[in-house]
Amino acid sequence: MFFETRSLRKWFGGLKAVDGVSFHVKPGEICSVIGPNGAGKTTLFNLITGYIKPDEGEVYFKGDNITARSPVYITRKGIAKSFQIVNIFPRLTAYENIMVAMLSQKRKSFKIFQSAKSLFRDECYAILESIGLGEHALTSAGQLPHGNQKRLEVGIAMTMKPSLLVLDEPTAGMAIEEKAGVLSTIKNMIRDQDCTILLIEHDMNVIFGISETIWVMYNGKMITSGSVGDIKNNEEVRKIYLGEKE
Amino acid sequence: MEVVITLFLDGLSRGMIYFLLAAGLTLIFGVLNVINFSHGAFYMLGVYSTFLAVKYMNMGLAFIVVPIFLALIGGVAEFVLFRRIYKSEHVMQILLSLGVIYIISDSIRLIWGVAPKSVTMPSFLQGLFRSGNLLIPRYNLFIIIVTLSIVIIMFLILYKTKTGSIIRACTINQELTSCAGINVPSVFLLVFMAGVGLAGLAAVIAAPVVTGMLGMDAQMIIIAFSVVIIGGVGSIAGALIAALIIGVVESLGILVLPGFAETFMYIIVVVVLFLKPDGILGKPMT
Amino acid sequence: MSKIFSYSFTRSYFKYVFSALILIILILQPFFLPPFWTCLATEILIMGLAGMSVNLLLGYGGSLPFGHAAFYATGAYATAILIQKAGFHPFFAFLCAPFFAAIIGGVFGLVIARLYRFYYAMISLAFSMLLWTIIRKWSSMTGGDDGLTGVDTIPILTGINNSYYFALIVVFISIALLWIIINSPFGWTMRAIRENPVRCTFTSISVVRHRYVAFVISAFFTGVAGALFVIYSHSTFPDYAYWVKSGDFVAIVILGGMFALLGPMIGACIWILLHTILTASTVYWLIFMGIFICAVVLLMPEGVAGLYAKIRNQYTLKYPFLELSGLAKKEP
Repeated sequence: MFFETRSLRKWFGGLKAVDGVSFHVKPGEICSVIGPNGAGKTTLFNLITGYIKPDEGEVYFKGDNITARSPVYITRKGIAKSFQIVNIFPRLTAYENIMVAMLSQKRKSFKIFQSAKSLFRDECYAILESIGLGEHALTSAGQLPHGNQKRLEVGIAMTMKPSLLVLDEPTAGMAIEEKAGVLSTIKNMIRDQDCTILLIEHDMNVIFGISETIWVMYNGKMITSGSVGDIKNNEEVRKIYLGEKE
Repeated sequence: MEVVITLFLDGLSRGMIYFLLAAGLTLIFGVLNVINFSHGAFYMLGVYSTFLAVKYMNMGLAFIVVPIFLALIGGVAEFVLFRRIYKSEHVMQILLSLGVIYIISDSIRLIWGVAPKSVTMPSFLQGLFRSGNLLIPRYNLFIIIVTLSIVIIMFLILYKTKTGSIIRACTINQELTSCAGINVPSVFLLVFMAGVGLAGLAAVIAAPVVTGMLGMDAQMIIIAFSVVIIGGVGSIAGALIAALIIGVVESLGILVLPGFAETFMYIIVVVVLFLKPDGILGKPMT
Repeated sequence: MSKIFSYSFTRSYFKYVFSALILIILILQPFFLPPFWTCLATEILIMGLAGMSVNLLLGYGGSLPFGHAAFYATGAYATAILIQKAGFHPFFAFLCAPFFAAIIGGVFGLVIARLYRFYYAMISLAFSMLLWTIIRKWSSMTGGDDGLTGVDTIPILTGINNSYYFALIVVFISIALLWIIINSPFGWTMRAIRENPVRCTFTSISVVRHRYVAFVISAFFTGVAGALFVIYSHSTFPDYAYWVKSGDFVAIVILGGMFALLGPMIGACIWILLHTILTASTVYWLIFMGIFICAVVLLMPEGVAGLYAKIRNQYTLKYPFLELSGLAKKEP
């Protein structure tokens, strides 16, 4: 099994944020998790990527038990995460943001007797181009407009050459044209790097546009799952999203 | 056995003084989120001022005058200096308090000179108290009783009065409090002054038993911060427990390994930081 | 492709000339200035080096190192003790001393590198005060409160000028090494840790380990500074470990600008000059020093280098060795 969770549970005080979630992701697919606000999606992703520790349950990745391991370990294993709230290195340039991630991925972060900026230039620029920030390479990341920051966010995650890329609302706050760009980048990633994508999104167009499998989460539990067609026609899902356009 | 009890009570009274100092610090740190390294220097100023107060008035008046005087100075410092760095990085705050320390300690040297100063204890508090085979310095009992009263008063203020709730609200959420129409900057000024005033109180109480000399602030600030860390930032109750522990350990430590009292304290701090980083009763630091 | 190095070479030309000029002045200075200034220059160089080591952790690493006096003192005392008590040849003692500082850094770092912000500062301070107490109490080794005096120095270095050149060479080499470290993958990783430690853990960067290594390196170079000072002044005192010294180091970093490699050197310059002028004018110079620090914190927190960058309205300075790290050019 490529990636699965078993009965994950997490309580915050009396609140059951994640209540017995068992789901799985097939290799090479684009898998989305949807659900109304407060369903526990972000908490689930935080549990998976090691940001917080589950109270119960297990997470397995490529046969290894990665439950409650540190993000440093999990990222090294091949799961990379991009954050819902932009989480970049503000005072470094876009190039430097990618460079730092690249150096870590290539395990060169402890090297002292080399010049950082002379290493992997082509690869860093390739990534910058693929996320559409090629011409902004020398701009301070904190001064980029929000949409570009989000792209950088995804770019940093991509640099880690993950087998499983976990994206938490990658297109939040973007204009429609931008969203298309991000989506094609994601699709290219799968093709070029043999990567699996797991994402949370609220924009249904995006979800129905690229997902292969959709899992629906509500009140901390997985309600159902299926293909785009299944979910679109599912009564329960419609009820949950009552009032929301599909 | 009696020695242990005497030392234990000695430790308690030490701890009480540390508590008063740390309480002011944890108040300032917890409510204003400012690291005030100069707290020890204010304390030193308090001790020296007590010397002056006792010289021209008497001990009783000193109890009132010195804390008020210190609170005023603290108020000036807050208004002119500290107010501007609440939002700054911690480095800047520490550096600013460093500057304040330089100013205060050299001003003390300017006014009082280099020679150590001491305050004679009021006669009715001198001497020993007998209980069976136990000999306890009266002053230690005095310290314990007075400080406990102050603790009770503090808790009453913080939890039973409107001002107290406002202060506690500010600790939790500043923006919301100011939206509720409360003048947050004034509250900050008040809290800062109260914090420094507490240091003044600690100074007055401690004055008869310590020698005032330049450099005492360095020692005290480390102890004060240690108490704050162990007890948890922002928690007065935690500061009390931590201060008493440190005081007692310091006193009893003389039996075990004289001269290395600080080492015990550092060990406790390190252990606490590893086991429970927020301190015994603290809220998580943002 | 060469976008990063696109600054036209003609512009850099002027900057290289400027730097060369400074270097020439530094080298020739003893020949046309009285010895007093040479002494001052030596002290500035040494303090600047200590400041730059501290800045490795502060400006580039985002920590609050408030106990580096401990490593300065270790470097100093190790040198003095090895020369006086162990009979080492002074040059050899000088070479060994920084390693002692690095070892102490290795021990302290085990605890400190895991901590954040205020706790980091507090424990650094506490540990360095512990060292201060140990130095004062262990009089048989360290001379206690009186310190050690009359320490022999390296035989060739008799006379102020020779000490100065020795310091100049050592500091120059150290700056070169620091510059290499800053621009290495390790240095950039430290900057990333400064910017966003959480993101780093998600980029598989072990924050604690990197901080630990940086801590030890920083301790080493601060030890070099301490050792140099003994070679220059032939004595060492417990005050070298007192918290005031640690505070001084941080002060000069902020004063000079913490985002520039040579910022602390500029800070040391201003600091020592100010100190000299003030101590000559009044006994109560500390008050003015204190007022000065407060003024800097309130009015000029970005330091001299930062101020200069702001005036030029650009955020990357391409002066060799003066490059402002971590601040990039504004989008037009």
